[in-house]
Formats: sequence, structure tokens, C-alpha cells
Amino acid sequence: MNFQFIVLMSEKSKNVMKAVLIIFLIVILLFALFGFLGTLIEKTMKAQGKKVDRYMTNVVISRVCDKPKDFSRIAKLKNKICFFRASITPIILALVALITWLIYHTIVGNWSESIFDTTTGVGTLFYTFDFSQMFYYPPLGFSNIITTNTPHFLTNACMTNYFIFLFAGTSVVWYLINVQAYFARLKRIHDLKKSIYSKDLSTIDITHFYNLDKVNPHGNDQNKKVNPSTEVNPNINNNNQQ
Amino acid sequence: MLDLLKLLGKGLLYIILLPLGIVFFAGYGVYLFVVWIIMFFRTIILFFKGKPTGLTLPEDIKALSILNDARDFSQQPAQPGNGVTFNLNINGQNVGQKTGTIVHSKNTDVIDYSNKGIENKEEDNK
Repeated sequence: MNFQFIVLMSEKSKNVMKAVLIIFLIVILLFALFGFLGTLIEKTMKAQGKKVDRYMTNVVISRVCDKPKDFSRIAKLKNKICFFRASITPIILALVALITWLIYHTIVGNWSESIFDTTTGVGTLFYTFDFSQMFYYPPLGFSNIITTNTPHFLTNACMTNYFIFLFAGTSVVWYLINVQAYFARLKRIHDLKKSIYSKDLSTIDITHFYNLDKVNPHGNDQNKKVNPSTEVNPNINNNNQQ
Repeated sequence: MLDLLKLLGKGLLYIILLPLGIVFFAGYGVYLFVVWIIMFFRTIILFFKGKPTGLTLPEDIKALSILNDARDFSQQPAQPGNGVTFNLNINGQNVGQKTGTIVHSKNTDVIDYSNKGIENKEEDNK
């Protein structure tokens, strides 16, 4: 391949080409990252859905529910019970966070204070930037970005915001995982309802139901006859032994 | 290469569907919170009525009884490990047999062959 055109390109065109390449790479990496995360979530949901098999096996095997409607009703009720039990802890954590937030704001008296504030809240733990006076130099140049906060740990009463954030954040993530698990089980119930009670003939080999003796009474005898193509000549073995 | 392209395609699809997914997920989260509150009161009512609140529903109890009835209890299952015959090999040569009992111990190396069968076997040999 001839790359001579790159040498002939102007400096500006080269910069544009570099920028396009970088953007293309970033986009590809983003697609790959999202694809990987999506696949991971799919696998997790499959594993979460397997719980339905555990709690519905006895009911299905014993034929207590022999209709898809009954299966769906029992499985959905159990799914709700599972979700309820799994979500007790995150909801208690959320309640603790809410009570702490109420007590803190009652004592401080500043109800407009956010827990994400960069001077009194969780924002103190992260870098924050001011982009309002930023300059842009094409193709990928930026300047005059002002750092408004460097990470530091508060040691006064405001650090209560850290605990509120910790409790609330944990409860939200935990609760969302439970929502995902509920949804995964619901999908599994839907799939099982279709597969367990399906009347699908495509997987059935009809010849299994034939009484072959009636179709061909001499079939067994015919099969017992030696097939010349597969018969082993006993002389070959004897010759080898000799 | 094809797998990578599939992964990238999935990534593109997930990026496009992400806003819808977030809205759907958030909506479902709110709906499930309402369900949780209903389940909370239902559980309290069932608890004070003395009914089971867990995953064991009346259907499960019925299923268990059906499955238990179907099991055959007329024959006692054989005790595992009784009268096991050990082939004793020294340097690949079989030097005899001994009958004993396998003791189920946490230590997997322990095999108790202090059974009367061994003594009887030895007496027979004499």
C-alpha cells in the first residue's frame, strides 16, 4: 500500500487525520466496553434466573401445577416473595441514610445543603473542574481548565454527608441488583412457561411410536443376518496369530 | 474477528438502547418499591394469622407430600461401606484380600479395617 500521500499532506491535515483516528479508536473502545458489559449483565441475569428452577422443581415434578397459568401464578408469587426478602436490607440501609440526613439537617439548619457539595459534601473526595473559561484548540486541544477542588477528607460535622452517601449509595446499588434479579426471574418464568407446557412436535421422532414387529415381523431376523460389508473375516485373525 | 464484530455490534445496540433501558429500569424500580410495600403489609398480616410467610406455599407442601408418597420406603437402603473388600497390592502384585468397613471421617486417609471380617479371613487362611 502506498502511504506517500501522508508525506504530501499539510500539517493541518495530518492533525485532523490524527484526531479522526483517535476519535475512531475511542468509539470502537466504547462499543467494545458496552458490548462486554452487556454480555456480562446477560450472563448474570441467566444465573439469577436459575433460582426459579430451584423453587419450582418440586411443584412441577409432582404435577401440582399442570397448567401454564398455575405455573405462572405460583412462580410470580414466589418471585415477589424472593424480591421482598432480598430487598429488606437495602431498604433498611436507605431508611438509616434518610434518618441520618434528617437529623443532620435538623441540627445544622441548612436544608439546601447537598450531600454532593464540593465544600461540605462528597464532592470534596473528587477532583472538580471549572470549564466555564476553557479554550478549545482544534482538533483536540483544550486549555484554561481550572481545578476547583483537589481531593481532601473532611473531619468536621460535615463528614456525616459521607456516611449518608455511603448508606444511600449501597442501598440503591443493592436494590437495583434486586430489581435486575426480579426481572431476570420474570424472564425465566416466561421462558419456562413456554418450554415446560409446550406442545411442540418438531422435536419428536414419530418412528419411536411405531410397533416395528407389526410393520415387519421378520425385521429382527433380517437384522441378525450378517452384513457382508461389515463382517470380520475370522481367517484374518487366525493368520495374524500364526 | 466475527466475535469481535458481534461484540461491537452489541455495544452499539446497548448504547442506543441505554436511555430507554434506564427509564424502563427506573420505572420498574419504583413499581417494585410499591410491590415491596404491599408485600410488607401482606407478610405482617400473614404472620399474625399464623400462616407461613416464606417461600413454602401450600402448593409446595402438597407437592412434597405427593413426592414422599411416591417414594418406596419398604426396602431399607444398604449401609454404605459395610463389608467392602480391599485388594492388597504390593509392588503391583496382589497379595490377598481383606474385608472391612469404610469409616466416614473428615480425614480422607483413614480407612478402618478393624472388622471381624478380617480376623475371620485370617483364620480361614490359617
